[in-house]
Amino acid sequence: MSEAAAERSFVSPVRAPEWVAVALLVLMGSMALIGPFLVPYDAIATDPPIALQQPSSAHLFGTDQLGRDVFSRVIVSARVDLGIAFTAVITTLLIGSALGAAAGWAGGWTDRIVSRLLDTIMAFPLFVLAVGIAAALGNSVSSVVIATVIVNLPLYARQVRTEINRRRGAAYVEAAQLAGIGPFTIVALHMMPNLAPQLAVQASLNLGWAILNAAGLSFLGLGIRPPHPEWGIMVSEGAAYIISGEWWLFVFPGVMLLLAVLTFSLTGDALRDRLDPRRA
Amino acid sequence: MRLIATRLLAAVPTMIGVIIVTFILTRLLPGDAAAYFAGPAATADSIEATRHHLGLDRPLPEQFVLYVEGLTRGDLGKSLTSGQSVLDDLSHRLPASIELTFLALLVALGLGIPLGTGAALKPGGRIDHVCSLVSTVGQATPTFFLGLLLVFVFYYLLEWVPAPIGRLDVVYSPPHEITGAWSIDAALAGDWKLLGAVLRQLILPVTTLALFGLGPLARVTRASMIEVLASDYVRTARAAGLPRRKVLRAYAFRNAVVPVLNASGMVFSYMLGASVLVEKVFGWPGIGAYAIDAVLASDFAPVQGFVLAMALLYLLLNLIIDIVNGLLDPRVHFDV
Repeated sequence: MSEAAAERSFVSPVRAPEWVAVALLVLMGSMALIGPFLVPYDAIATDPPIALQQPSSAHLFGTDQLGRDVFSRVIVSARVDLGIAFTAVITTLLIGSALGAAAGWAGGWTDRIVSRLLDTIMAFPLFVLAVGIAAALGNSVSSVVIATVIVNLPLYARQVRTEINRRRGAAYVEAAQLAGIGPFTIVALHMMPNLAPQLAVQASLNLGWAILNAAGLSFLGLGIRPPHPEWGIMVSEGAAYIISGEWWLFVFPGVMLLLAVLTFSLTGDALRDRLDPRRA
Repeated sequence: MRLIATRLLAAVPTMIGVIIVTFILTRLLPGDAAAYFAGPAATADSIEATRHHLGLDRPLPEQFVLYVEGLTRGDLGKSLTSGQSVLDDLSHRLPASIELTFLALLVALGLGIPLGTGAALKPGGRIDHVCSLVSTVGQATPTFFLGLLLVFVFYYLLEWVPAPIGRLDVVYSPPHEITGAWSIDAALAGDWKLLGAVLRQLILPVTTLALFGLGPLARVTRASMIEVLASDYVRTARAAGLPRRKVLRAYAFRNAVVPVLNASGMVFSYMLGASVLVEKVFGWPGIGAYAIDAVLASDFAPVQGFVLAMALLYLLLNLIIDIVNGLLDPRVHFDV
């Protein structure tokens, strides 16, 4: 069995159609971009007299323990969670590619040091390391982003390192060198564009993971602090009301998280089909 | 033996890296550690004295040597909330975490391998559909949300399980600790009623964690089985007229299991991470919940101890997997 075929069999053939990914992407995008302007209620203003009301036509997803509208809070959260995930993934992509490209191009000691660094990160269970970093950096959005970036670095750096190293002796690279083009330009403008499709797939799949990571941290009470609406915090606060049956507090933000992650994994799969025909 | 020795040797640089990272995490702590340890009533002088006592006034490389020295003595610092040494706290709580995570890994393997094999035997068939659905949804569901959902359905709605808090319902007293894994201890004591109670508490957290690991294991099994089934030696075995069962068990499965074993190391790492969330959801008194409580109380020594312990656990499991791999597949060699 050829390598390509083996890889193909790793990906399940049973797929949701592409339009599902597109629809979800539009939903998530509009929630994050224009959602906060459209929501019916203030996401932070409390209204104790109407606390813990069941979902109704006035409050689609019910109200929480302080009388805040769960629907509005769920929508407003999208910007926070997706914002963190996008910032983290783009930062990782840039730093990881730079590290990987340096290691793959230079080889020798640069390569050894970078590889050792990446191995060390990989030696930790990643979420545990993220908890440690976020705890050390204190409660802020940026500490969640930094934690996510660090634990995620090896994913991109290793891939870029391998690919750059593999293409180092390619004819077009040698031609560029002979033409007197500097190594930085060759890597950035001649080689990296070749990696763009696979990195795009990787980044898309990775966005889902970054959302889970950020929500997990805030669920534990690290990172973003209440009363700021965020899916992980909402699930965490809603957990206290499960035993009294107020399910809408934790179910809606939880389902939104699930949908957000699903959005990016389906988009990643669809992108792979389109961009990387060898593997699709 | 040589295999084990080479593997141990190869783990040394990783170990050093892990210790350096945990050291850096300790030094990154927000605020002035000396002022913190000196207590709220400290004067500038006593803070200075504490700083000197903790060695925080020395250059960083020297502090690192002190830190490593402490580690070799098993000194991970002291927890401010429990007043105990972190090592004692961790070793007291570790069995609860290990029981949870290993049981979940076993369940995930026990379900994932048959599921993946079933999917591989008939790609595109019904089992294959189930397999891909389970892995897609399983990967997209936040662990903590899944845990809470199970609590809502099986505790609140159906009332099938006891209150999902801690390792044992309050009406029972815990078994005499031998291994620290209460399910094993209860079985060893021959107390079946107690074992039942312990298992009833375990079922939801273990299911949560297992569902999380099931997807990747099933996917890898499927891919690996498909590849092996298409191989020349399986074709030869079939052509020789060996019974289907024998071909599957003796030829296909044994070769297909190596990638699955390797993947289970990765899955275990995910599970160790996710166990922190699961422990939090189910009030499970393991080291993850301990570390999180410590973080929230701004008590940082336990967090460092926890991160280090988790990395060690992961390293140890990878070591075991490599050794088992070497036993299963004589072709596996290590170049250091």
